[in-house]
Amino acid sequence: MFGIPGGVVIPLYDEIYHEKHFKHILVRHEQGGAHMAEGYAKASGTVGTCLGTSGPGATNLVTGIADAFMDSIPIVAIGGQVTTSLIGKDAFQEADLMGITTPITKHNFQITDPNEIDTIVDSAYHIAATNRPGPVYVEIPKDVQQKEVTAPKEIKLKGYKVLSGFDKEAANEACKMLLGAQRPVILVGGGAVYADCANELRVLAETCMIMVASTLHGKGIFDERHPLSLGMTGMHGQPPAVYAIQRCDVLFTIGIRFDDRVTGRLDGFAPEAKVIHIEIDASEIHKNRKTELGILGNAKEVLTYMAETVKKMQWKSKEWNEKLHAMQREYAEDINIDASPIDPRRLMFELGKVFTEDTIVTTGVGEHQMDVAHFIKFSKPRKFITSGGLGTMGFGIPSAIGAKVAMPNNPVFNVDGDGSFAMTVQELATAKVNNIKVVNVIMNNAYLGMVRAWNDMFYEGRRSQVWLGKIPDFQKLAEAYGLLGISVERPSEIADALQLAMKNEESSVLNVHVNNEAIVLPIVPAGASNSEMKGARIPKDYFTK
Amino acid sequence: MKIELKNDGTWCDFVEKFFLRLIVEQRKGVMARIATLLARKGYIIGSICVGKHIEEGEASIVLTLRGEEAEVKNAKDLLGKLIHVISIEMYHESDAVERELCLLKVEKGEDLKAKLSGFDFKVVKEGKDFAVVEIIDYPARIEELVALARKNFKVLDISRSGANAI
Repeated sequence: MFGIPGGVVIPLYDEIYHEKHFKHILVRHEQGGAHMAEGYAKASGTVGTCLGTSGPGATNLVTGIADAFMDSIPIVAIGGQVTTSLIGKDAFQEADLMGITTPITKHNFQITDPNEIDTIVDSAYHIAATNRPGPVYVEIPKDVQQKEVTAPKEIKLKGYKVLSGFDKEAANEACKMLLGAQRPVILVGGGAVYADCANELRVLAETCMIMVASTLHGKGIFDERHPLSLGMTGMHGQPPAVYAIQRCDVLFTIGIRFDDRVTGRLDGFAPEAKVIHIEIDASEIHKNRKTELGILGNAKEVLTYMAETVKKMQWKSKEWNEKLHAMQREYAEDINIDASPIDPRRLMFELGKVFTEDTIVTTGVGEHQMDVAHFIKFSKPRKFITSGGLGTMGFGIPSAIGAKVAMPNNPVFNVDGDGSFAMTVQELATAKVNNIKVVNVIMNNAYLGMVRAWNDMFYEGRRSQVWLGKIPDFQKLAEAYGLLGISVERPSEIADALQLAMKNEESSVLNVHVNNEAIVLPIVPAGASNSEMKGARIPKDYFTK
Repeated sequence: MKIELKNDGTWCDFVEKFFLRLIVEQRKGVMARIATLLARKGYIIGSICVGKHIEEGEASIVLTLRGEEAEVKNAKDLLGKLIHVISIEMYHESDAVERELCLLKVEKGEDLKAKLSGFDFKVVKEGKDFAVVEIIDYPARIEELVALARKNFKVLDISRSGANAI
């Protein structure tokens, strides 16, 4: 549990004090605690837990809870509340967290009877982890923490059932559609990661010889080094992946919610495609893109069945895959750029060299995040942990700490921006005190870089309130936290600095000064069709040729 | 397109009416969860009718929503995710038996029964200068009765139950 005590949760913490086997990590800000729980959950595939006191403690959790809701991350957030008799009286540190968290949780519970604590906490974990995962908030008033449990009561969840089975007729139909397609593509999202269907997906893709693209959260569920991988699609995706989806005739999607960063302008998305959509949440089918075939079910079960059904598909035409492979070769880019100041792509090149398939990488939100998503290939799921839906700056450090706690044997890197990093930098103390090793790599361009880039591209260069000015000095700040801090100015220094940080026994901060003017390309401008993607090597006829 | 209200408060002609019938656990805050979920997803609830259901601790809720079938289906799927919603069904207006209860308080006048003839109503209470009329019918018939009453009497108050359906 990642938490921090305060007034009304002192009784709860008093119990933790007596508990010898309970692992609690003291954080420095509740938002950090919530993101740690998310990092823990995403890296391990189990439920993460965070705790804050009533009022401001709980409202500080809210950003993390909202983030977990958008990205379907199973966490249980526990909040204190004032004594039951004071609820509604505007007591000290009282806030209506049940009201605040209702729209951003899968469910929330207020415990008013100590006899219900046991069963409600069990229910919270069950709800968070099953079907489409998500955050559950549990509110415990102070007096409920203090009263004795006399006769435990069981609460039945009459309205919550774990989804099982799927429509086999629909799955047969999906097989027929794939077999009949001339230009099929598979697109996988975060739902595929939760369904744990990497093997089934690979078998199906290899049997049918269909290429696989992913969303931001789908990265790694299909090995991005596999010859059938197209990599990530979307606003900053790989142009061949975007092309494949724009031009495909059957788009087979697994666990995606057709987010606007993936689809661009919705009516211009995959205009020629018949869409098959495997989804565990019925309300996602037809929500954005109207699909030809929705299959409600667990992707692992559906894909296992489909792989059996299609068995050996005689591929009619190799042209489509050959064309996509040719486009990939054409787009391949040498990012070992020896320029000064450092080109961000060179940093990605150096990172790519030291990352193994077991390295877990977290990010903040902004240009550095999209650079990692665009340039770093992931071979396994649950290795790229990033805030996709909510786009929460400050996600990097705490989620990396949570991931390291969950997976102590995996190297964990937080690749961050200077703006994002500063938003939750206090959690370096958590890393130091608890001896949690995370290598933090800051891509420091002294700007809120992505906003600055949009100022330049879409607001005629009016850079409004985006200059951060290299304050603070992150090397010295790391040292103030008792950690190793390294400043990197030249491209040739990056590799050595990374080696030093990796060999160091504690967390470290690499402050890499990159070109202030670098921007992330390619890009699909917000609100435009994906076929209007812009980039140095994307000619006008790229999506029509 | 979800639901369109015209400037005069009436519905656009082309939107169809659907009923969502929910069986829910009777718990604190269930109505709030349903109402806020629909509000933040952009739905306008036409009417709500709530009462106890067969099992102890369970209630039946009938909501009316207007819109395209796919949009209302999405509302059904969203509501179905609420933990306190035990089951949910969706009917098109043409597939359900629909009734609404209306209580109408009017200033007592001459020939109440004669002037409202043609409607199956009851006078359930009479005071010195008012009468309370009860009518159970489908909503369009209730609209007609209210219009007729307004033409002939001074209407003091109206209380409608919202559409119920099965």
